Amino acid sequence: MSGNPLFGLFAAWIGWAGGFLILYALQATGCRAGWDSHMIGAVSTLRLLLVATALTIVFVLLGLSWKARRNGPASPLARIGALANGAAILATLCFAGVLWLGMCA
Amino acid sequence: MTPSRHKTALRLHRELTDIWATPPGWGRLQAVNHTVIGKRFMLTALVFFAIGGVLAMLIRTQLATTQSAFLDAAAYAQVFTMHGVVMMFLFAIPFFEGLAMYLLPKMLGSRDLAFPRMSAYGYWCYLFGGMFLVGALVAGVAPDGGWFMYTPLSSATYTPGVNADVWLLGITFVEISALSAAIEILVSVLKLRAPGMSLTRMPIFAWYMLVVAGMMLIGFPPLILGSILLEAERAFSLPFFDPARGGDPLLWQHLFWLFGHPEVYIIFLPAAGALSTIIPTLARRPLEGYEIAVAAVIAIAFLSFGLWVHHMYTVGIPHVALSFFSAASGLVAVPTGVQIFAWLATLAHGKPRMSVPMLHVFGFLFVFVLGGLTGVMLAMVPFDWQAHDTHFVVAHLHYVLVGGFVFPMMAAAYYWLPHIFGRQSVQHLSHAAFWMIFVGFNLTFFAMHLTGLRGMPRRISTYPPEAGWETLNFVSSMGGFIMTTGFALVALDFLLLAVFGKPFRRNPWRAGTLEWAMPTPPPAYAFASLPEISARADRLDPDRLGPALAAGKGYLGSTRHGWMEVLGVDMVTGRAEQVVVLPNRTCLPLLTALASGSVFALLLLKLYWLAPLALLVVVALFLLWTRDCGLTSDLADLPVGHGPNLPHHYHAERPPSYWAMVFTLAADATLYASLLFGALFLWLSAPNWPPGLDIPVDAFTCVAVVAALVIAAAFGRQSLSGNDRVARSLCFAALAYGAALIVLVAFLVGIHGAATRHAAVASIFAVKSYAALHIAVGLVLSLFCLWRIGSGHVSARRDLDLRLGRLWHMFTLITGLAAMAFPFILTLLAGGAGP
Repeated sequence: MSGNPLFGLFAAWIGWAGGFLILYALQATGCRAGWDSHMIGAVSTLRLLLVATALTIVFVLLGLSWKARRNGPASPLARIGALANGAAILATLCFAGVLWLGMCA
Repeated sequence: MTPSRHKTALRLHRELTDIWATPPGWGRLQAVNHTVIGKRFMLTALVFFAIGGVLAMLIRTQLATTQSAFLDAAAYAQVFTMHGVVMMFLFAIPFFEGLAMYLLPKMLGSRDLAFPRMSAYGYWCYLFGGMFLVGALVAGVAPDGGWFMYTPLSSATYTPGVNADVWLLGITFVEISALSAAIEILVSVLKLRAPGMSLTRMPIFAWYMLVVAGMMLIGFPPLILGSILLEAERAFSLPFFDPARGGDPLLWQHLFWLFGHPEVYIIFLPAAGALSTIIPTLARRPLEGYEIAVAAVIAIAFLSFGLWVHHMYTVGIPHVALSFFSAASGLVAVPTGVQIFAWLATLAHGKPRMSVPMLHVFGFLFVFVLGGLTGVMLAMVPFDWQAHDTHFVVAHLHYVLVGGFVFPMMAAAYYWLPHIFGRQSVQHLSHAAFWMIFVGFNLTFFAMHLTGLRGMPRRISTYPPEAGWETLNFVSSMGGFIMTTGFALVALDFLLLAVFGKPFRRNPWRAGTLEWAMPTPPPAYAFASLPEISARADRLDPDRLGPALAAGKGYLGSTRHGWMEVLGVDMVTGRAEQVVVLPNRTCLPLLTALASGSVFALLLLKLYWLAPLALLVVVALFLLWTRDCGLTSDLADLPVGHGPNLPHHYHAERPPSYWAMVFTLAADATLYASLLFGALFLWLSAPNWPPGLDIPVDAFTCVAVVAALVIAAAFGRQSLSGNDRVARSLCFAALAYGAALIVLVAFLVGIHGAATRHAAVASIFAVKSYAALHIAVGLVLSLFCLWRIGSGHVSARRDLDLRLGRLWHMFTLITGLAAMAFPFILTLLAGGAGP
C-alpha cells in the first residue's frame, strides 16, 4: 500500500475478489471431499473452515484499509482509496451465508 | 489572436498536418490516427446496429401473432442468435471503443493514443470478424445456438455444420480487437496525459474508461479460452464439455459468464462516463461527489465479476454458493445507485439546459432505473427460479442495455457530433425521434415483462393461441416498429446535422473539458501544443486555452525530424517524464489483420495444416512493424518547450510499451488461470471421473522442459548485465527454448490420442499446449532481440527490447513450471478423490 498509490486504490477490492474465489473453491472442494458430513461438535468441518476463511478475509481487508489510512497523505487519491476500501469491507457481507445456509445442497 | 500569433499558428498547423494527417485516396488504408480510427469504429458499429435492428424486426414480426409462418424454426434460431451477437459484440463494445479512441487523447491533452498502429489493427480485425459473421448470416450458415452458445447444443453432435464454428472463430477474432483496445486505453490513460494532469485531475470520463479497460483485460480472456476449448472439442474431439468423457457443459457456462456478466458493466460504464461528462456541462455545475463516483466505479468493476453465477441459478448449485452470487448481485445496485444520485444531485443543484442530449439523459434515467429494479428482482434466487429463461429476463436485459447504453450514447452523439462535424443540430427531427424511441421502447419491453410473467419462454419461434400471449406480443411488435422508425429518424437527423448543421466557432455547450480547446472538426494532431494542467480537467476554460495552444505556447509547440511526438507522464502525479515518439501511418495493420483473418478462415474451412503457415505470416508481419521503431544511436534529452529537457521514450525507464507488455501478460495470466480453474472444475464436478485410463505423467519431459526454461530465463535475464555478452546470452536462451519446444511438441503428439478419450488428458494437453505456445513466442523474441542488436537498435541506454523480452521470459518460466507440475497434481487429485 505504501508502494504504487494506484495499487492502493484497488488493493482491498483485489483482496475481496481473491477471498470470493477462495471461498467458492473451498466450498466446492469441501463438498467433493465430504467435509460437510465430518462434524466437529455440532458444526461441520466445512462450515468451520468457511467461517474461518470469511473472517480472515474481513480482517485482512480491515488491515489493508488501516494501513492505507496510516500511510497515505490526505490527498484526493487517498480519499478515493479509503472510500473504495470501505466499500470492499462492506461487500464482505456477501459471505454471511456461510453462517447458516446449506453447504452442499 | 494577434497577426504574428496567427501566422505562427498557421505555420505550425501546416507542419503538424504534414506529419499527422491521413493521405486521401488509397492512403486512407494507412490510417492510424485516433480521430480517423475512432470515427471508423463508431460508423461501422452503427452499420452493425442497423443490421441488428433489422434482425430484431424479423423477430418481432415472427412473434406478433400465434403460429406465425413468417420464419421457420431454423431461420428464426439464426436470426435471434445473430441479433444478440451483433448487438453485443459488433455494436455495443466497438461503439464505445470508437468513442473512447476519438475522445480520450483530446480530453487528456495528448495528440494520439499510445499505439496508433494497434488501434488500426484492432479496427480491421473488428471489421473482418464482423464481416465473417454477417456473411455467414447471408449464406444461411450463421450461428444458431443463442448468443451464449451453450453446450451441448453447440457441440459437434448437435450442431454438426459450421454455424457454431463461425461464432467461435468470428467472435475470437473480434475479441482480439477488444483486447488490443483495452491495452491501448489503459496505457494511454495512465501514461499519455497533459503535464500536470494527475490521476485526480483527470476528466471523469477517463476514470470510467480506465476501469472499463481493466475489466476488459480480465473479462475477455475467459471467453477467448472457452471459445478455443469448444472449437478444439468440435475440431479435434478434445472432450472438455462432453460428460460421457469426463467433460462438463457447465464449464462452458462458467467461462462464458465469467466474461458475460462483467460485459454488461463493460457496456454500461463507458455510457455512464459519458453521462458524468455531459450532465455537469448541461447542468452548468461540476459533478457532485467526483471522488465518491470514482470509488463507486471501482466497486462496480469488482462486484461485477462476482455475479457470473447469477445466470446459472437453476443448474443445481448449493445454497451457500448461490448466496455469494445473489448477495453480490444485490450489492452491485448500491454503487450504481450512488452514481445515479450523483447525477440527480448535479441536476438538482444546477441550472439544466433542456437540450436534445438532456432529453436522452432523462430517457436513460427512466429506463435504466426500471431495468436496475428488475435486475435486483432477478438477483434474488427464488424469483429467478420462476422467471429464468422467460421473456421477463429478455425485458430486463433490454431495459438495462438500451437504458444503460443506447440512450446515453444518443445523448453522447448529440453532444459530441458538433465536435466531429463542426456543425450543430438543426433539431427538426430530434425531439420526434426521441419520443418515438422512448414510447416504442417502453411499449415493446414493458409488455415483454408481462408475457414473461405469464410463462412465455425465450427463444421460441411460435406459440399456441391458447397460451394467451398474443395481445401482449402484438403490442411488443408494434412498439418495436415505432422504436425502429424513431432510430431511422435519428439517422436522418444525424445526416442533416452533418450536411446542413449550423456552423459554430468553438465550444457550443460551454464545456470545461479539453476536447473543446481545439478547432472543430479537429485537426489530425488534435493540439498544436500540449497544455499544462493545474486544475481538474473538467473545470478548464477551453475558449482561453485553445488559441494559446494553437499558437504553440504549450509543450511540444514545434516539430522535430517529422516525428509524431507526445508527452509521457508519471502515472499518478502527471509529471512529464519522457517524449514518446509514435510510429507513423502504414498499411501494415491492414495487412496483418488480413493475414490474421486468413488464419481464422482456414480454421473455419478446416484446412488445419495451412493455418500455422498463415500464422507464421502474421508473426512476420508483426515483426515488420518494428522496422521503423526505435533508435540506432543514443540521443541527448530533448527540449519540450517548457521545463527541463526530457528523454526519448527509448531511453526512459518505463515507456508505454513496457506497460503494454505488463498488461498483455496480465490478460494472458487470466486466460491461464481460467484454464487451470477449468481443469480443476472438471475434477470437482464432471461425471466419469476419475478417468479410466492412465494420466500421462512423463517425468523426463517435465524435467527437461523445466531445465530448459530455467536456462532460457537465466540467460534472458543475464542479457541485461553487459552489452558484450548480450548476443551470446540470447543465443543460449534461443537454444534452450528450441530444445524445450521440441521435447514438449513430441510429448503433445504422443498424448493426442489419449486426449480425445478423457477430459483429464485433454486438460493436460491444453495446459502443455499453452506452455509450448509461450516457449515458441520466447524463441521468436530471443531471435528478434538478436536481430535488433545486429541492426544497432540496442545499447546500454537503449535496452527496451531486451527488457520486454525479459518480462516474457520470466512469465514463460512461471507458467511453464505450473504446466509441468500440473499432470502430477491432477494425478494426485484424481487418484485421491476416486470412488
